[in-house]
Amino acid sequence: MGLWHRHEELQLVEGCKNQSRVSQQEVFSKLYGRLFGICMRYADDSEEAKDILQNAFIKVFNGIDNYKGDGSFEGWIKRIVVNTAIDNYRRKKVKPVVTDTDLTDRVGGAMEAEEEDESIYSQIPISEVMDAVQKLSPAYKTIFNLYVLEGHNHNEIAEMLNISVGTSKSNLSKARQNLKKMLQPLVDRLSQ
Amino acid sequence: MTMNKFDKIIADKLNQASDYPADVTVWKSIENNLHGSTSLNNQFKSSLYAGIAASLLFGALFSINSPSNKPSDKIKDGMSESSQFTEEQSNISQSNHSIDLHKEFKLQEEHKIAFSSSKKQVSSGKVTHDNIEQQMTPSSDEEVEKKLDLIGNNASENKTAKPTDSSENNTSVAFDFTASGIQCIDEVIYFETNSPADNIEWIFDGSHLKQGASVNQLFTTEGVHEVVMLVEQNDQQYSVRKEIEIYSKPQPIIDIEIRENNGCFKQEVAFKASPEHNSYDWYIAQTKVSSANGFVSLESGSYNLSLTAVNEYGCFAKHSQLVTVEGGLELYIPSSFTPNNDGQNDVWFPKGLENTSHFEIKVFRIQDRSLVFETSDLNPWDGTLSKTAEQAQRGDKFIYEIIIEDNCSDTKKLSDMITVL
Repeated sequence: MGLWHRHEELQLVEGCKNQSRVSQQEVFSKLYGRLFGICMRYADDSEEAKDILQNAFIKVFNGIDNYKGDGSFEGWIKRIVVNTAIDNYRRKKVKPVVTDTDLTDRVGGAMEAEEEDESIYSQIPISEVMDAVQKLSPAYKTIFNLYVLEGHNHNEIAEMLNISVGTSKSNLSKARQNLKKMLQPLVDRLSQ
Repeated sequence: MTMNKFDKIIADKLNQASDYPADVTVWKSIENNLHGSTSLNNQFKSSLYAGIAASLLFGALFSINSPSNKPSDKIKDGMSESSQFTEEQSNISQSNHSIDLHKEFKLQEEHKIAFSSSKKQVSSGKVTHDNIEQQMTPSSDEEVEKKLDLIGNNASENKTAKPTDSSENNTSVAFDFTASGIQCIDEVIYFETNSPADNIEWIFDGSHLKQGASVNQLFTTEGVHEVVMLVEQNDQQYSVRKEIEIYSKPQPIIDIEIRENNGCFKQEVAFKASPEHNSYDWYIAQTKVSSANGFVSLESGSYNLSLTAVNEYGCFAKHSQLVTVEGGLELYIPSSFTPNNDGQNDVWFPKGLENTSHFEIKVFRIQDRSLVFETSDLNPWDGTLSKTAEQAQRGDKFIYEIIIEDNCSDTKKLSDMITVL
């Protein structure tokens, strides 16, 4: 079940449509935690995540009339947050960033495919996982998020980010490898 | 799409990352963008206009240099202004900004602005339900001291603080501040000024020092609180003092009573909150059940009964209580029996049906759903299959369906398996 019952949700939407600060603040405060978690996955740090979330909320409240009540309100807002994060990635793309190759080199190159017990990753604290995801290059991070967290396929991701399907697949694979590399010291410690 | 185990573990971890407390500075920026005149573009405009206006005012009237207003800094701040503000706040120390409230500020005589601080009368306030509008009655005998008019309708009156010395220039200086928020205990109130200044400091109740054009303060006690804004402009100091009244949260008296209904699945849980002039909403779990005192019928179990209350000042409070409902119509429906004439468990029949108003029992063979037993009376089933008169065999499985109407006219349909042992 969502945060609100349907009738409460509709009341809140109505309040937001009437520019009620109380309704807007209710939506903001109730959803902040989980939406900020999403933004953190796409951002390099918490300040960037705040910027993304702030812009997303402004889009939500300014575009509230576009919410027709078909799906859950929270789901609609979440889509706007993810789209805002993608916009943010597109904007960053024009700036010089660490290239995929650079990052791969930095973390020690691609890991060889090997059979391993991946369940140990579940013992790693959430903050460390989040930190590792944030350290991925913007391209890897965005594709990893869209594929693994948002459930998009490579065709959809390619269209969203204006890249080829092959690039999407290759970057996802590299994102996984880099994540594992970054988490390896923790895995080693946990294995001892 | 293929998600491997690694993906799933990472996704689970990241999905759990939601325990982030809401950042009021982010909300403030959003609110400014949506409602205020300080949206990103407007913020630039308003600071620019304020700078120009202040330059003209000060330049023309006081023959001093125009204030060092830097709109470009405002632009640069943009979205991250709030975070910078927070940082500034944390860097302020009392020792660096030693201000003695009991000492009159040393202003140059010709620019001196003095404010009365004698009156502490509590104003009457009326707040609408959603705290969007609020009507305040200012204290009657104050000249400059002001009551804050909160929420959206930022005070449009008393925008200027006039010098007390009437022999001085017949001028006014555009220093004022506004506030927004909910005037209740433990709610954040935002204070903001568009006044051009080199430095702005705030003192809340004589002690809590903050710095910046936009600050927030949370008051933890009800009553009248003092807010002083200190403005430094071209080596001159000015102060604007206002009072804000903070109202208490509702503290309703809650009375919950469980009323027994004999022969009914559900018991009545009566709830009552007082005083009656508050407005209330009652919830079971997260479902609203009533906006007034009343009762709800609940089956046996534990429920989280919560109450949200809004008092005459628009202050909100939530109270929760775990309510355990016991008793009611209790049924025991056997899942097996042994129709072998040994005197033990030879027949099948639910216990407790004798306390109901009406019931219908049907038993079906599991293989072909054929009806093998049916009754509306207290007649137990001995395992005889009605159509063929054959006896159910050990290991045979049947499905029962029971429709029960209790003494409160509630109907319930129950169904499960019966095994012949």
